[in-house]
Amino acid sequence: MAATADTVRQVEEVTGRAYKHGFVTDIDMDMAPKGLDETTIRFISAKKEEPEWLLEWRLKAFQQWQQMKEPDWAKVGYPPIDYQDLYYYAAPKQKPKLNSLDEVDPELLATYEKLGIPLKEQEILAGVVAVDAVFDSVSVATTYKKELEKHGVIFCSISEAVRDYPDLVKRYLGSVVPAADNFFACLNSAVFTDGSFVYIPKGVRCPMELSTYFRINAENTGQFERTLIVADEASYVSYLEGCTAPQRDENQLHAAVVELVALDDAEIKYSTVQNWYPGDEDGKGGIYNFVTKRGACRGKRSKISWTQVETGSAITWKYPSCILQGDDSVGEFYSVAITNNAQQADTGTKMIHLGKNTRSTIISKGISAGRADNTYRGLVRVGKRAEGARNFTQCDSLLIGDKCGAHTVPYIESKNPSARIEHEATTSKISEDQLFYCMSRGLSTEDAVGLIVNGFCKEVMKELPMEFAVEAQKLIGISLEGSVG
Amino acid sequence: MTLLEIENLHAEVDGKPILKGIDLTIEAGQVHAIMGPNGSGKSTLSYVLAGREGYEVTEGSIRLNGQDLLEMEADERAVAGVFLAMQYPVELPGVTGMTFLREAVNARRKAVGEDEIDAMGFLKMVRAKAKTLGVTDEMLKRAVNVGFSGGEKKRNEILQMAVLEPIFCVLDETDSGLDIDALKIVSEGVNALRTPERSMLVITHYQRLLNHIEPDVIHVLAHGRIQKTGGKELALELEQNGYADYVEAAA
Amino acid sequence: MADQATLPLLTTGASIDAGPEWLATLRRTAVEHAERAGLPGVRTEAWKFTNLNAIKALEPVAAQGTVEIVRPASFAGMDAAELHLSNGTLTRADALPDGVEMVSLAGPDEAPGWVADTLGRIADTDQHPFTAINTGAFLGGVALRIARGVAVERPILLLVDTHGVEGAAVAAHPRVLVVVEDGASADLVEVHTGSGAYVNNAVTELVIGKDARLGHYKLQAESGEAFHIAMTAAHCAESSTYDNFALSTGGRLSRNEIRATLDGRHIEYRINGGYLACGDQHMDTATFIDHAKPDCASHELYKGVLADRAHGVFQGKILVRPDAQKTDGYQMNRALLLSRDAEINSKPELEIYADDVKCSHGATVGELEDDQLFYLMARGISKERARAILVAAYVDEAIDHIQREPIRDAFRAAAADWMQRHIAGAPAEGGL
Repeated sequence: MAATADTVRQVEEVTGRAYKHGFVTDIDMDMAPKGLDETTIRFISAKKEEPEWLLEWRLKAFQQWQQMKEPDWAKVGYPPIDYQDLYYYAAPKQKPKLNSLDEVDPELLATYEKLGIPLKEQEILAGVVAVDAVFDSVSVATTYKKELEKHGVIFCSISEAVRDYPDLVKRYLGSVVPAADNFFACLNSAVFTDGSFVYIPKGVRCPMELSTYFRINAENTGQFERTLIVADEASYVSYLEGCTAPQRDENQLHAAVVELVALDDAEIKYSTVQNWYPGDEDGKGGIYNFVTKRGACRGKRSKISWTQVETGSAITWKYPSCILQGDDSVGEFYSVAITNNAQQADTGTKMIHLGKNTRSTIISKGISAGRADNTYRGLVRVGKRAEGARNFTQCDSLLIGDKCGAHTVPYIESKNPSARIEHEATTSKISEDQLFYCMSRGLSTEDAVGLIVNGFCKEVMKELPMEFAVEAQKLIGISLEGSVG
Repeated sequence: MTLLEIENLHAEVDGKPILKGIDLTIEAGQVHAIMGPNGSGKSTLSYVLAGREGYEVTEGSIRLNGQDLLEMEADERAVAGVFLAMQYPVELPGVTGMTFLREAVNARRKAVGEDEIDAMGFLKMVRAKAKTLGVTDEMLKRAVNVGFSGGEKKRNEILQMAVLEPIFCVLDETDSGLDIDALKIVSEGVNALRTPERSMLVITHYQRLLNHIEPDVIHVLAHGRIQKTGGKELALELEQNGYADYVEAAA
Repeated sequence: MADQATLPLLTTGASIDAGPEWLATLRRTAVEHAERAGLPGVRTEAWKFTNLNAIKALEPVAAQGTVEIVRPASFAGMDAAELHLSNGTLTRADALPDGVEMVSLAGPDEAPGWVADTLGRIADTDQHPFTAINTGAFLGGVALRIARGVAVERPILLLVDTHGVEGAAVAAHPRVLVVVEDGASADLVEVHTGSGAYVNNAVTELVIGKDARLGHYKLQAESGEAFHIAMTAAHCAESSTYDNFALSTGGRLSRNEIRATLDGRHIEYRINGGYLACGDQHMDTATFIDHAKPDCASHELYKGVLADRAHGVFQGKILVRPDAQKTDGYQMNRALLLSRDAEINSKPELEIYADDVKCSHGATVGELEDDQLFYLMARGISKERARAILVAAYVDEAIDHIQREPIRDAFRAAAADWMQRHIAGAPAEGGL
């Protein structure tokens, strides 16, 4: 049993060690007063110089939100959130309009550098990744705008998009995740402060991977970003989202909404590495991550692929989903979720098959250690008209230590006899045999565990873009020192 | 007497043309072999003959004893005497070998207005035939092909052939996945079924099967057409030179 | 409290205060639970896919009188000792072998201690409103005890029949308790039938002792207008074997819930079954396996066939508690949709708190495999017949898991009977 004990310790060291990104940037904040009422919403809308229609939209969402109940079906527990005890708007004070990164507050840039997002460096590295960085709530700088503009790609903060492309925003905002979709999405609709907007025109293959780094900074600030990506006919975009947050004693709320729209023959690949502060070993602090992500494959032969590596947050509540409306459209969900200590993750996906010959694949890998609970919750629904729909789902759980939990809750609903749905799930641990085998070939315990865990996640990891794969491997690996990969 | 007549046969799968004008006549009692590279349309031809859905005939005709095969469903063709020994025999969980054979035999008897077969006599007859093919009682009790090895599956196919007594047999890559001993048993089983009335079409990639089942005529299929027809010497020629000539010729 | 029953179903049963004090106490608590909960709605997760509005709309009346019950033809050839529960009343009890004690639950004033100690202790009323209603309202039923070390060879066949009355919805709440003492073994076969419109709200409690074995097989073949709501709750002790099989073919709306607690090491739990539905039938199967102790194995295979506008529901949960290391759990639900209007909701669930376990589950939904159909047709078998053979084989895979052969044959015949009536070209009984 010694090897197992080592395994447990190793994992604790890795996933439970002091949070690397735990520091606070000291920047002057421009904040709305604590609490949430119509005044807060009008304040946010006014601050952002929004048009009337958007304010109306927000206010309507707020009214609906007040009638809604916080959902309690997920396998997560947390003390009640006092929504009046939060700040809903926190913008770093800065010059109003930025023309280049040089104008960004240097301290802010330094923060990003500490986070390992070499914003400046990337600019020099000639357009590999364009980063739209969200610092708390407001997008501070967008790189590579010019290069993207050449291809007609719009990549900007959602606030800018509201101002500069009102028709696009009006047409698609809330069209995938309606304002009152669920409690957290509704709250977001009322108070969202910023986020990214992407539009890929017809036939354009976005020349670089687009990237946003989210970071929660201010104390008691809920982060409510909103992302909208529209891929017009026969276009392609790969979007990367990285999330970190500083270490704080208080739990912070994050309720984001991401909407994707893929028209005929379009493809959107959305990758997330979520590394929010998970709280300390006793579960103190950490991010409450209640996120609504949904993509609509509206067009024929369109494709939306979600890949996520979730290692952070005290609570993760997210179900990136695909509505497969277009005939022959494809939805994919690849997920690695690691929980340790007192973390709780309830994550999965929904694949809603509406069009003919729609196909979906779900691969979920849950790893649970410490006293954590890790739940896969998924829905595969095949509508009456979805002739020839296909789904394959595989959910594997790995338990490390005997105080944690791993749960699988799939919902399978079919109304079409020609549809074929297959679900498989397993739960296991790292076997003594595997460990011994690796070690007998000269690997240390930590290398062996790292190897096995990464092997366990391989099907998901290979879906990540190169830029993310290395970081993600480090996050999930047991020995981070380049021993894996 | 002509048993099978294929004329100008064109067929496609998922809208993709695979067979592009096949002409083939097989006399009663003859064994023909079709050889060809991968992707030449060999398996498509076998499925088209057996009447599998999804294999669309766009032009041409197939007649068995003068009857139009293309007008018939797969089961009607089987009743009329067509038998396809499949390259990958399908597993039927929950359906035992004996049930399967009895159902198949009774389907034929029903078609010609005969009563269902006597269960005891049938069991005896199947067991006797199974024995020569090395198919054990245990295999007959198990679900069809479930958990069978590659060799067991192929022997089981030949057993079905022996029990159903078709007049025209298509053997699709019957040698694939067989070691030399299994190949011998299967070939002997097939040879035992050669009669002056029964014809066979042996589809194979390799010449080695033809050492065991000697064909009267050999055809080379490539790019959906019969490129060459000859005697046994053709197989040896292919053995030496491979299919390179045919692959390039039509490319 | 006692005479203020607000749930119509409760009014169809026993007076709460009748009988000995232990029973009155049990009933009072149950009625409290039932009234507090009411009948569940679709917002209750456990009933998410089964809408009970049709039951809620009923004005049920108590079942009246009894009828003579006849074995279904498929069970005719099985040698068994029969017990009859007609409208909840014990109407026939064949002689049972030595070592088997039987008590009628109709007037348990003089119930032996083991009944008082066990009844209502296995099936929880707090979380399960229908169980609470049964416990509060049951008028009759049967309790069996297989004495320590006794092996009962002849199956006990319990025929439960409910008889509807024209123009009213009869409700019956049959109650069954079986205690298999340490080292004993027995086979219990439950067959539920009936005529007309009624609610059969049945509860079966099972206590399986150390090293004991119980085979428990159930056929639900209620009338097409019936509501069948059943709870089987089992408590298994160390090294016991529980072989459970349930086949549902009847009822307008049915729910078969089976809950078992594996409360000792080295228990072997086999839980298999099938649901065959056509017309507008709604069939809900809910299973819960509680692995509370280490070294136990559970194997579950359910096969569903849904034709016409039938709606099938399968909810299966395996819970592995922190202590239950070395658990080996397998669960599979396969459903076959034979019609464009059929529907399935499947929710196989794992909740696992022990790390050294081997647990897997799966679910498939689809129609018959094209290549299998072709294979049969290529051997001369007609399409209709080929489909019927494959459907029968599909169900047979689950039936095959029944451990006792005569019982297996009876269930095979029951399934074949359903096929004959509802699937064109189906092979005759024993055809496979």
